[in-house]
Formats: sequence, C-alpha cells, structure tokens
Amino acid sequence: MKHLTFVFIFFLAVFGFSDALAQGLAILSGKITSSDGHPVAQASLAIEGTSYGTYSNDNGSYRLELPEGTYTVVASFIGYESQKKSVRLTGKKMVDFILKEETVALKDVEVYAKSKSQKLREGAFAVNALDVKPVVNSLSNLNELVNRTSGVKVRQEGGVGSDYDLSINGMSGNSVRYFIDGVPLETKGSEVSLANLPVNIIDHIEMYKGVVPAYLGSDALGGAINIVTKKEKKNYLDMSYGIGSFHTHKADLNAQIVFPKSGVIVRPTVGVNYSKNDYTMKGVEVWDESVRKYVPSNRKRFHDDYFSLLAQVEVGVTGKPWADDFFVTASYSKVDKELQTGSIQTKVYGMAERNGSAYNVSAQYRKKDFLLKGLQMHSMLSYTWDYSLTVDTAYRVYDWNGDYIESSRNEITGRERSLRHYKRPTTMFRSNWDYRFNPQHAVNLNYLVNRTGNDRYDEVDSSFEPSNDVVCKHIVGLSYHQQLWQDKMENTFFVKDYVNHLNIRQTDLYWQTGSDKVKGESTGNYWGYGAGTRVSFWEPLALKASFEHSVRLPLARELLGNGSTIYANTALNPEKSDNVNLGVFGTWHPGAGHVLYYEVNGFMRFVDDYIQAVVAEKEGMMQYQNVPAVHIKGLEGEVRYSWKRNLQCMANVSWQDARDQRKYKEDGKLSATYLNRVPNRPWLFGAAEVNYTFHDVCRKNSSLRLETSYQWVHWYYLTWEAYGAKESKAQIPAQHVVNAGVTYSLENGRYNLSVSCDNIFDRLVYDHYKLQKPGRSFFLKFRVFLN
Amino acid sequence: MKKMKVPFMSFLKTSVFATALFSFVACSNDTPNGGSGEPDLTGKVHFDIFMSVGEHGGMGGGENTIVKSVESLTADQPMIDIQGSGVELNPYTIELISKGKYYYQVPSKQTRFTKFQIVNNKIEIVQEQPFVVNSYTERKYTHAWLDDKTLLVMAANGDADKIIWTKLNAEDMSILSEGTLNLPLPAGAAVFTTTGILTYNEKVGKLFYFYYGKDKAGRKGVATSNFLTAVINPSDMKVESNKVNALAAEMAGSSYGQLLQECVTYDEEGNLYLAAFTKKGELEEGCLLRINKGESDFYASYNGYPNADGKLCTVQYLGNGKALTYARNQSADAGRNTYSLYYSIVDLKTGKRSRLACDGKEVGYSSGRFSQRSVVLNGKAYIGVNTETSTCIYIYDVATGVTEKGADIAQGYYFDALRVVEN
Repeated sequence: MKHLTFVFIFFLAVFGFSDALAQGLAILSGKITSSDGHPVAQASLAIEGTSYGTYSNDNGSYRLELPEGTYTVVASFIGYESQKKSVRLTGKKMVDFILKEETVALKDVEVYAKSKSQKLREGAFAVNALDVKPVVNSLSNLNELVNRTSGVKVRQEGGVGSDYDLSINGMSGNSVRYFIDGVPLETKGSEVSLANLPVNIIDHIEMYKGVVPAYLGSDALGGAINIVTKKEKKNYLDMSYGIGSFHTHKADLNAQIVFPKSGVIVRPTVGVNYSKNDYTMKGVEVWDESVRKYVPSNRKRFHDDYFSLLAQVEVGVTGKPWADDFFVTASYSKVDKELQTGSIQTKVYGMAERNGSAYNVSAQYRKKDFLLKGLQMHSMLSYTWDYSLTVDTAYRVYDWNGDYIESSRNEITGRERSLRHYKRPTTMFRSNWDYRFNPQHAVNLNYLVNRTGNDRYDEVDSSFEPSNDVVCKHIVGLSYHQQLWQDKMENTFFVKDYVNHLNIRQTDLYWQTGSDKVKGESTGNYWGYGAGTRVSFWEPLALKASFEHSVRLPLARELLGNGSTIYANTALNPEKSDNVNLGVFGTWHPGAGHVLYYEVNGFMRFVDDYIQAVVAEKEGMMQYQNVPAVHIKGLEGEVRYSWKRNLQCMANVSWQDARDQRKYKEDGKLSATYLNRVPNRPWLFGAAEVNYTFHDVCRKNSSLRLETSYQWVHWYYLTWEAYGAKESKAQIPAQHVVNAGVTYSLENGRYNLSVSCDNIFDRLVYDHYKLQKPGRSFFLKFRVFLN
Repeated sequence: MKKMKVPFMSFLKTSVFATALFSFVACSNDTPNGGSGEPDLTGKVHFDIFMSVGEHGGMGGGENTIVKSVESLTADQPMIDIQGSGVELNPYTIELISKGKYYYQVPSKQTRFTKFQIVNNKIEIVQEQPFVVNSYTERKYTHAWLDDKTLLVMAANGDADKIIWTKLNAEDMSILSEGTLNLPLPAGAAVFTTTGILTYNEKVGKLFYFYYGKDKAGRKGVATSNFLTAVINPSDMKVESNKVNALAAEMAGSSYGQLLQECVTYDEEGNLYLAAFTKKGELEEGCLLRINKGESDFYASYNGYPNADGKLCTVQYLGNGKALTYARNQSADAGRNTYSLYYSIVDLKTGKRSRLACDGKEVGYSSGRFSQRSVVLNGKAYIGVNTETSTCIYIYDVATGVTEKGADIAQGYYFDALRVVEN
C-alpha cells in the first residue's frame, strides 16, 4: 500500500511538472559594485520570498534564470547596506546594484537577505543548517556547535579527540552519515571526524533529519551531516592558532593560490590538534592503604594525549570550457591517541593506545551543460589507504594515581599481548547527474560505490586469526525536484537502491561476533524511497512534511569492530526505518531590524533491525547489535531572534521517546521490555545561546562579539527503567553547561582574537555512564584572514 | 554456678547453630549441603533470585540483572516480580562467589576483589582489596573455600601458560599469600584452558584442580588430552599429584569455574563428584565421575549419569545418596535459548535417575543453559524452571521424594540464578 501511494504521488508530481514546463524563463543579470565603483565579489543576490539566489563573481557580475514575473531582488554583502529593487522580468534584464558602506541604518525600507543556511531550513527537508563563518573566530570544535542544535545530541567520552556518538532525532550516531561537500567524509580516513576537521575551511553545515537527499548517495537511517567548505575565488590565507586548558593546541592553515595565467588553483589545508587532556577527574576511586578503602579523590588524567593532523592539497582549475571544476586532491591524516579508560572510568589504562593514519588521492570533475544543455555532471573517484593499530602490550594494572603493578595480562582485553593491525583500503566512486529542465523542475541521478576492505592481523597475539573481509556497497539514488506557484510550493521525490556485498573471512571470537553464521560471500538488495514537500502560505507560516523509507547498511566498524573496545558482529543486518517529519515554520518581522524565526517539528521513526551499541558491561567492551524494532517519536522546537547585525538569540528544546518494539524474547516468551523506553540515551534536552556584536569598537571596521551558550540534558537511566528499585538504578546525571566567549576582530575580520570558557561553573558532566568529561576550560584563539 | 551455666549453654547452642549455618551457607561452594539432619534454617536465610531483563545475564551477556530477595519460595507467596523492585546488580555480574551474608567478586572493569552484600534494596560494599601481584579479570577465575575465612582464587595468566593463585582473608579481604602453581603445561600444550575447576575436599584436606591444555591459544585451540586432575596441598600450594583422566574429555564448565554453575559436589563420606562430558560425534555426552575419598584420580568404573542424552550442566548433592542434576537433551536443543534442559533426581549409587515430576507429570524442558536455578535447603531442593508454559519454583522433598509447586515468577525476564543468603 505504501508503495502504491508513493507511485501515485510520484505521478501526480510528474503531471504537475509537465504542466509547468510551459512556463517561460527570463534571465536577470547585472553587476554589484560599491559606492566607490569597485566590484563587490561574493555579494548575495536573493529573490525575496523564494529560494532563488546567487552570488556575484570576482567582477561583481551575477546572472540568474527565473520564471517570468515580478520580483523583489535583494543584494547584500557584509559591511554594506543591503539594497532591494522591484523588477518586472521578461526575457533578459540587467539590473545593477551600488552598495553603500553600512554607516546608517535604513529607516524607510528594511531589507532581509536570507543566508544559505536559512534557505536550507526553509526547504522541504527537515534540516538544521549552521553557519560556521560567523563563529569560526572562536570555534575550537565542530561538535560543540552541532551539539547545540535541536534534535542533535553529541555524546563524548572525554576531552579533545575522544570518541563520540552523534545522534539525530534519537537515531544512533552510526546511523548518521558524514559528508564533506557531498562526498563521504570517510575518504579522508576513518579517524577524520567533526572533532578534528579544521574549522576554518567550513562555510556551513547541513544536518538532514531522517530524510536524506538522494544526491548525497547515502544509506543513512537517521540523517546525514554534510559539511560544506568555503568556495572563494580569490587568493587568500587563513591561519589560526589556539591554545587552551589541559595543554591543548590547535592550528589551522587554509589558503588558496590562483595562478592567473594558467588558471590553476592550489588549495593547501593543514589542521593540527594536540591535547594532553590532563583534566582533573573528580571523585575517582583511589586506594588508601591506611584505611583499607577506596577513597573518592581528584586526580588528573595521565594517559590521554591526543594528536591529529590533516594535511591536504587540492590542485585544479575552474571555469574552463572542458570543466567547470577539475581538482585532484591528495591528503594525509594521522591520529595518535592514548587510551585512559575502558568504557567506564574505573578501568584505568596507562599504556594502551590507538594510532591511525590514512592517505587519500581523489579526483573530481564537474561540468555544466555536459552532453546536453541543463545537464550537470559531477563525478569523483577516490582511493584511501586507511590503517590503524591498537597497542595493548603492557602487562600492567594502573590506578588513578598513575601507579601500576606488573600484571599477568594486558590492559584492554585481559588476554595476551596484542598489537592489532587494521588495514581498511577504501575505494569510492561517486557520479552525480543533475538535469534542470527549467528553474522549477530538475531530476538528479546519483551513484555511489564504496568498497572497504578490512585486513586484520596481530603482530604478537598468536591466538589471533588474520582475516581480510570486504564490504562493498552500491547506492543509486534518483530524485525529482519541483518548485511550483512561484516557489510557494516545493516538492521532492526520490528512490534509492542499496546493494550490499559482504565477504566475511574472520572467524575468531565467533560466538561473540557471529562470524560462523555469516561466512563467505553474500549480496543483499534493498529499496528505499521518499518524498518531501514545503508549502509557504505567507512568510510567517509555512508547512513542510517529508517521508523516507530508509535503509542503512552496517558500517565496517559495526560489522567488524574497532580492534580495541568494540567487538565485531558479522551477523548484523541492515537496519530499516520509515521516517516521517512534519514541521511548521515561519519568519516574522515585528519591527525595524527585528527578525524572529520559529520552527516546530514533529517526527516519527519506525525502525526495524535497529543497530544499537550495546555495552557488554561485564567485558568493558561494546558491540553493535540488531534490536528487532524501535519506534521513536519526538518533538522539537527552535526560536531564533536577531536584531540588526548586533544581536542573535537562539533557544531550542527536543524531546524524543524511543520505545522497544520487541514483543518476544529469544525463547519465544513475551519480553518485559516491550514498549519500554530504550535506556541509555538522552530523551529531553535543550540549548540556548545569545550573541551580541558591537561594531567599530575603538577602531573603525572592528567588532567585538560577546557570546554565551547553555546546554541542558535531562538525566536518564543506564538500563531499562521499569525494573529494579529506582534507588538502585544507575543513572547518567543531568547536565547544565554554560559556555561564554568574547571575540575582537579588526579590519573587517582580517585579525581576530577570541577567548572562550567552556563549562564556566565547572560542573561535573557525563555524556556516558561513568565517563567524566572535562570541567572548566579556557581557549584562546588568534586568527588571521588575508585576501 | 547457675549464672555460669546459662551463658555456657547459650554459647554452646550458638556454636552449634553457627556451625550448622556455615555448613549450609556453603551451598554454592565445595562442601556438602542440604542433606537431612540439618537444623531448620527457616527465618535465618532468604533467597536471592537473579533475573535479567532483555537478555540472559550469563556468559557475559546483558547488563541488566536485577536481584530480588524473598523470604520464601512456597506456593502461597505472591508472584515474584522485579518491576519497580529488586536491586540492579551492575556493575557486578551473576558469576559470583557467595558465602554467609556476602558475595565476592572480581567486578567487571575493576582491578580488585570486592566483598559486598545486598540489603534494603541496595548493594553495600563491605570491603575491597586491589590486586597486589596477581591480577584477574571478571568471570575468568575459579575459587575454593579452604575454611570459612579463607578464599582461594585461581586462574590462568594472560599468556595462559601459568596458573596463578591468591589466598584472601574473607573477613577483611586482605591478601594472605599469592603465587604461581608449579604446574607444567600438559604435554604438547601451548596454553592452559582459561580457568579450570578448583574445589576443596575438606574431608581429605586437599585441593583438586581440574584443567586441560590446548595446542594453541584462542577458540581454535584443541585440547591435547582428556582433562587432568591436579591434587594440591592447600597449605603450601604444592602439586602433589597430576594425572590425565581416562574417562571423559572435559569438565562440564571450564570457562568460569563454579562462579555460576555447580559442577562439583560431595557426599557425606567425602567422595567428590564432577560433571563432565565427552564429545561423541555431534553429541556432547555427559557423565558424572567420582573420586573416592582419599584418592587422587577418578574411580574407573563409576559413572553416576550413564546413557546421557546431552551435556550434564550442574550437579548438587541432596543427601541420602541422591543428587539433583540439570542436563541437556541435545536432540531437543536448537540453540542457547531453546527448551531442552531438564532436572533429574539421581541415585548416586546405582546411577538410576528420574526426571523431576510434579503431580505425576514430568516437568517440561527449560531454557537457560547458563543458569543455576536450584538450591538445597532444609532437606528440600528449590528448583527454578523456565518452561515454555511457566516460570516458577518446584520444591522437592529429599526425604519423601515428593515434589510440589512453589512460587510463580513473572514472565518476561530471564531467570538466571537462585541463591540462598544468610539474613
């Protein structure tokens, strides 16, 4: 029935599309200059009340295809007063804009240009979009920023570089896929993540909830995060260095060099993170022989050094007759990570560590009007040598004093010494074909193949059986997008085909990993489909709804483990979900300079074979397992308010309720957990932030930005809440974290200095059971942006 | 004179009672228990029922075990449920050493020995002791009580090429002594099995350690011989005898000693009985072997559980020459959670056995291979079952041989263990 309904809707849409083909197109072009006559590059040109828009090029010129009609066109650029013109558009029309430097606020006319992020929020999909540019001067970690958005929760195990679990609308972190400019982030290496990506390269982040556009070529079940990097056309150099508490250092370098004669562009990027993470653990147990008891004490972490490096160079050309973009990229990433604890802090390590490195070579090619007018082809081929090593060779038992006794077994697994090597070569090819019939109608075909090997061997553990497993997946997505009624309605329909090919050769720990059940080669084929719609009645009120039947193929990490704290589970099935989003949003301008945006979303996730990380409490290990079914419903709301360019406020709250749908136990009897809330996950949380920017403080073209944020998570149980006396049950306590910062910028952002303080009130914070996060910390960052 | 007599008599009575109580409390340990002639302990003890939510608590699965303490398991009791009651066992696991009021364990993710008790809906840590020389990991050790105050813990080391041991004073948990057993690897073996089975025969004052070797580490390692029996002098931990047995391939449990399941028991005379098995084709054929008091090897012509239809999982002495066994009918078994396990009353002299029956009907097969749901107390065996149709207790009277139904246990959980604990 669901399939028939979808087909029916699809045909309706196609019908609407053919009707709309008859509409005529017009071209709006022109130039945007400053009052002194210089071209303004990268100025935003938006068509008010629609999602149409573009940017000016280096010469200040712009060009935009639109259906014929009357529009209000708004040109804006930072540091200038925005300008708005009413244009009746037929055929070709040129409209120039002269922007004045912003010295006096407009009194009679208020102009509101929407950022790319805002436009995304107002699209058909349920999406959070975060502008990184405004906060890049003070930001040290993307996870921090993402964690403050509605419906998203990042659970970190410790300090800088610690493992984390990101969930969107209650879906496990690993059902969320990560992309960088539409390409899976894993091409950079398995250790590259939101936690160590250089923030300076990022323009904005898109977070898709439940329904993921087909062009991302994703098998995400709970959503996707797409990191969109800055696209400048000029030479620039962006450098920053930050120093913080717990011996933390971060340095980023990002530049672009354009060779005018050849048109060759070189973009080097380097990001380095280092931290000793020697923050104080409060109330950890330390043995006091005089009283023969473990006494709660404060001790510094002593084996948690983290180092990451990402170095990348892109070389290519843009705007050539044969290619709009052609780039070859080489990157190297490295992560060295000491391990301080097991999955709870009572297990202290002093020698174990995990190291990883990856080399990547990729090439991408993009061409508009490829083969036929209106067709854009964008393809990417990538190969990654991904390598990791888990070192667990010390026969020692450590305590929080940093002392140890010589032991008779290793630290992590309690077995014999282990030097476990993982080689995970990844080949990826993505090809995206986008055909735009006219500004209202477009189809998109995306194909992604991802082949990941898992070659494992151990240098010293004679009991370890080497293996070489292969996971290969093909994902094809076809989508059709339409904009109707002068953009008051937007619809998207898509289908996806997922093919998973496994070749499992490992057999060790078969009783734990299930490798005896899934041996040899197997191929599975799965279909997904979905649709999204947005109807804008008027600016303060719009509705959107989206649906996807999604499939997520297990990750290599879930299937094959991580060699240290996660067991393999080769018998994992893909998880499937029917995801529904329904939202209402709108923008209101209550007075001059005031903008209020609100959004309320309800969602439901009907998950089957849900892949969930289960702590094997007894072993200090984790394993991903299929939970037969979980249903999640939730509600989240966000309000944003801004006043001119000075004040931005945001507050959100999210509630999500995941209920176990497994009716029967393994022995066929009714399960006590049926319809119980799934434990060990945050279910009520919120965030708020306030930023105020003073302009021209002490010096012209300077700014002083004050910011503060607050995060709250309601406490939750580690295990099923209904069973056992409440007072005996383990809990993850509530979190109240307040952060604050101040940033001073000179010469329109060329020189920036920021100081921030996280967890100002030094609260004890846990995201995971008995895994303490850092207390109060400070971070000082200096950034130079030269162009 | 009169005044002097009262305290003396009181002391005498207390001593007799204490002696009886200690002998009973060792029910999950290495001494005979529950036989006839013991004093009535009603009101002096309670039952701890271990139930896991979501998945079995045994063999490292599940972290959501709830312990419910009840005074009685008779049929007149209300249904036993853990909804909103009972104690969450985390971070401890169902693989425990119990004696008297207390539980003992090497807890998961901790590098220590812990002594705790469960009272008033919470776990109270009584005493802890960090490792000093030898270190152990959760579940992977075996134990024996040398006396009421001395707990001996033993395991293979990380390389599994040596057997390490630690003696603890169970009162204050201080380490009395530690060392490495002078036990060589069996011929052709590269490693010992993880823990083996350790037991103390107090009638002869010797430790018996059952173990075997494997040709290589890991699950692919193959036993190099039938299991061996080492007889150890508990005072100096010297190995006095070390023999390969000729009767069976492996002990019933080799992974975590008797921390959960009891596979060693003794009769009144001090004869030792061990549940063991030999793989014959696909069949794991169980057997019950005996080491006669004073001997160091198994009595060659004895098998207390002949013609087994599967593995013998647990054995507990009932008194009067009878034992309670929990075994698997392999032909009815299709995995860890199928209903294929059953209780029998075994005559240890003749080897004759009968399925546990109530009102003339055999009690159905249970599921739960890694469970220990029976205890012996006051001449009765309290036997927990998890059949396809019910989860409840049966009470077997050793003297009369009559079985009656006891308390019902709520469905929806995994009923993993039943233990008797001193109040």
